[in-house]
Amino acid sequence: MAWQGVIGLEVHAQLRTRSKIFCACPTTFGAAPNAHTCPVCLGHPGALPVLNERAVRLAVVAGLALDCAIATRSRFDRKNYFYPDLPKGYQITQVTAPLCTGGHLDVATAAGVVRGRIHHIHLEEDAGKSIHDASPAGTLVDLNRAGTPLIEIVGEPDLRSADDAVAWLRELRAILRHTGVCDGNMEEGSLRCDANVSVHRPNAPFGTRCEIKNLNSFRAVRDAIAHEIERQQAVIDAGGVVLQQTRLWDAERSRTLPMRSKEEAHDYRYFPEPDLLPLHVAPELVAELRAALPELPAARRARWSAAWGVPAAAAAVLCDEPVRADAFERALGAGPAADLAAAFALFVTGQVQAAHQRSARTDADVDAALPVLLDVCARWVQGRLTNKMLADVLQSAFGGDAALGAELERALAQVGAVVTDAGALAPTVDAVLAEHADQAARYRAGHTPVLGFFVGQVMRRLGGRGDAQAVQRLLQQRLDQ
Amino acid sequence: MIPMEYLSIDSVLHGPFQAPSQASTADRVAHVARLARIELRPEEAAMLGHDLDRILAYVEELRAVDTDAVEPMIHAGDRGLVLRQDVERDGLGAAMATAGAPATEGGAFVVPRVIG
Amino acid sequence: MLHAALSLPGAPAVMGVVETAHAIAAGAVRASDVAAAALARIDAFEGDLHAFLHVDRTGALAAAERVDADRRAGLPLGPLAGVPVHIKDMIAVAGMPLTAGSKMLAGWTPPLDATVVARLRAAGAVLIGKTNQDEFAMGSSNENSAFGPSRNPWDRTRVAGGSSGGAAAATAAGLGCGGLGTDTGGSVRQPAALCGVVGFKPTWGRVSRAGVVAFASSLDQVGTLTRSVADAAALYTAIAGSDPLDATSDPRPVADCAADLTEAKDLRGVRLGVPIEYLDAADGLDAGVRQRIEEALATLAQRGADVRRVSLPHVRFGIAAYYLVCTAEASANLQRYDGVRFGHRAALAPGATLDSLYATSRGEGFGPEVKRRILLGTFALSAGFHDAYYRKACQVRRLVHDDFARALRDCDALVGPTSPVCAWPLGAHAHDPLAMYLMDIFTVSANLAGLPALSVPAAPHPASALPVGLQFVGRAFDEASLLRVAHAFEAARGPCAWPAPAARSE
Ligand SMILES: [Mg+2]
Ligand SMILES: [Zn+2]
Repeated sequence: MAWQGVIGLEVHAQLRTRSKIFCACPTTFGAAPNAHTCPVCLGHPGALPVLNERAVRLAVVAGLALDCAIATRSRFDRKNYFYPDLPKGYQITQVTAPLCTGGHLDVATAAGVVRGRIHHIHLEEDAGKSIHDASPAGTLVDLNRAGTPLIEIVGEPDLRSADDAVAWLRELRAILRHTGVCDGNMEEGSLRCDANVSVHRPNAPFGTRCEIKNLNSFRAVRDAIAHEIERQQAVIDAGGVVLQQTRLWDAERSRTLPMRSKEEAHDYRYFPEPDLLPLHVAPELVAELRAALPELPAARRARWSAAWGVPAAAAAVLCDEPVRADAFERALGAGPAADLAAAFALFVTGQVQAAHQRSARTDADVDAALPVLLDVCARWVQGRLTNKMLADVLQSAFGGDAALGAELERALAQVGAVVTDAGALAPTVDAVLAEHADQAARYRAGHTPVLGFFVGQVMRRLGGRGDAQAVQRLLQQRLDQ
Repeated sequence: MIPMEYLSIDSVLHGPFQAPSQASTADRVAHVARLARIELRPEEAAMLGHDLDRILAYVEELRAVDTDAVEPMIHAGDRGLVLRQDVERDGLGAAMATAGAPATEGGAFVVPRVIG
Repeated sequence: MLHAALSLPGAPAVMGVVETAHAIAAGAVRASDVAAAALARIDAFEGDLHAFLHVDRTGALAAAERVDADRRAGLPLGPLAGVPVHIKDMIAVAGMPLTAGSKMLAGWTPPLDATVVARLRAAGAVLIGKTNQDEFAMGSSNENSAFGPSRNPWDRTRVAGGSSGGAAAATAAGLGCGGLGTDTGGSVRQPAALCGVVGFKPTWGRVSRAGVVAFASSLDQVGTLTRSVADAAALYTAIAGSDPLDATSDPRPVADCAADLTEAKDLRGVRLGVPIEYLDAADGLDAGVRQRIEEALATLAQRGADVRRVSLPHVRFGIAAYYLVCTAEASANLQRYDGVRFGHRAALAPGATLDSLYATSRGEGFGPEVKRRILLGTFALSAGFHDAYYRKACQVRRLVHDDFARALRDCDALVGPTSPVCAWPLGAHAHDPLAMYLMDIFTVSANLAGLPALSVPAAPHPASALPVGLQFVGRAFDEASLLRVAHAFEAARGPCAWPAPAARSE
């Protein structure tokens, strides 16, 4: 029987707060080294942690969105270890009594719905950053990130393939974004993933697991897990034993490598954080946050499908990012344009996305232009813009300097109207027929596919602005005379 | 009735206690000193090992207390945590943050190169 | 009269906190003269006592002159305007170096005031300097200071107690009107007892720990060292109350205890419990100390108190539980001293590893007692031992707490000795850590239970004439009652006829 992967993800998500979890320093990314630090996040003698209320609310929201139980009493613990980017010599985290427990996240995959259960979600502080290759003097330590609020979402080993894992993580990110918990930006490290991977034969116990650290993109998640499953299978097939290890993903060479092993096993000496009293979360607050929970991406996609027939793949792409999904719904409004929803969804995730990717425009710019794009889409669907005209409009507008909406209006005006009137088309049609009398003869001799050639010739002469059906109708008329 | 000798400093100091073997003493000190990242000179390790043995022998008396159903007490009182509002404020800034540091470069702290 | 004995030829008599504040507010004396007198006394005594690690002459005089200028300008003065106070070196004062008695922090100056310091400044107090202490407050004799011990003003061959020994010695010798210490297992009360002053540790959570170097967070509390209970109330009132920078500080409002102590009330109706474990059954207790405590109990009874025996069956385990809890917390709290962001860094050869930087810096920077406690605490938390040591100690802590809660249901306060013995000769227990730990036998339980406690001088020892401390332990957050009882005792006791400071070694 075949080997099967067993995967559980541990996801660190940065909470969307203004200030750090235990001090008032800003959480803004990209400042000069140590610009955003204070005695608390520097671990100065005498500095004490004071918990950020919004971090608690966001963690509760995450728990509610993932069907967790919210603990009315939870507790913080110290995890002790020495590292230069850990200023106090311990991380404040939740080990024995986390804020959220249980819960699950279902994802639709090609093989059906996969349920990935959640063991728990806890609050903790992030470490700073060690920069290893910037200076001959040694490793540089920047503590701007130290104390950034995180939740750690610990998944059960319920996933069975690299694709399952990516689908689960993608859905998790969409939920965290929809609920405003986390911006989900993997490049900036707002969302980081570790994967616990083992292999087994179905119905046999799980094998020894390896933890793969720092998977910072969906691609890394997929490739690292796929390679790790292959590696473990190969080890076992060769008669070897999988060792419990922490491994790192080497994207350049497509392999996982064991981290340098320490001479001593980790002994984090956890104990309750004496500087923080137990965290009490009132049931009223939980109820308030539950009531305020926004529509989650799965529900939104289902609604779009039921109401508008938006295809699943396009809905999934649009609902990855709630700001985009909101702008999409706003553009459609409640009016007759809703009939266009499915086409507009395909248009936005197709032509618009392609044009966007080739351009330097921001997501916000595109989102703001969605009402105009809807107009563009409507014209195109109704035949008031030809494919060629549409391509010209998008290319010209995305390449412009002004806001995308304004550029689109300009490009629409410039491209003019499609030519449908037979009287207007007739000179061009007649000229083409006269020029290619031999081809006209072939058509009349019964070689009808030549009609396509004539349509192309006419359209070229009209600069793509001719209504293809009107042109074809007129050509046939003339040729059949 | 509480035995009368329980507060006797003399009996604790000079009474019998189980002295762990030298090997385990040395191992224990080496292990915890390593965990705590404290380098000890040999004579210091020997002295602290001896002290640790005596103190641990003394705290053995806690074993006599029945704590089966007792919830560990971490803090005095049973009130919940007071939270702060999510308001950002400027910190010290890099210059002040690194003012007391033994080694800095470009606003960052410098430590011996760490691999991985 | 105590104050008379403290006067220095040619200098104004040393006044207390309340007296000084009144005199300055009334214009009877200028704040700058008071500050100058305090500094002159430091000059005269500091060489013998080594009570200070840093004296801020310029800052003190400037602050005093501002008080005088404010008074001349008719501006409102704070309740402690012009009162010279000292601050234990565990507590951050912006602009003054902070060592916590350790080589590890030598040369470090904190950027911000501790909350308690900011509150003293706001009340108008004049900060004269930082007092000596055992390294990171770990010790009961001040001999663990990396900068040499403070000496007892009543006999310079003896210890001042610890860890706030510098503060107690300075207060006893009149080097300032009083000051702040920290009390994790008796570190305010025990040196106060040994130096013959009042040492007051409020309820855990009552006074902010923000800006106070952490030894054991769940036990640490800032306290006061003064020459009278009224002075303790005045300093306490200035520093107490919740603080947004300390999440463990309690939101309950603070009663103005100072106003409450204008006259001594009798003790009719006050029920005082004497733990048999602290007196009758405490055979480590010095006979002369026991005698003075029993006399003090008689005095309390004469004043109308209902003095009765109570039992705290688990306090016999207090020392063991305390030394596991405090060292476990300390092992984590002191991990930040790693030679990276501040403090001592070992000079290492190029190519040295990060781990050797940590281990060497910490090996060089910490003294033996700090290492001993870090190792003990690390052990108590380590894999395989956590439950048998740390967790067990936390369970016993609850039993100790429950003993006190039970006793304080029937009593308004508990009373007994602060220290089993008077100040001992320097060096007597220096090489016996366990003997030193056992000196905290009567004080640690109040920290384990988080209760307010206060040491007030009883009559001097019948044989040695050294100070003896009487300890009261009160109900959580009822500092006001505790101070009232101690104040009544102080009034009933009357002035202590003690020898002048530093007289013995001449
Ligand atoms: Mg984590
Ligand atoms: Zn900060």
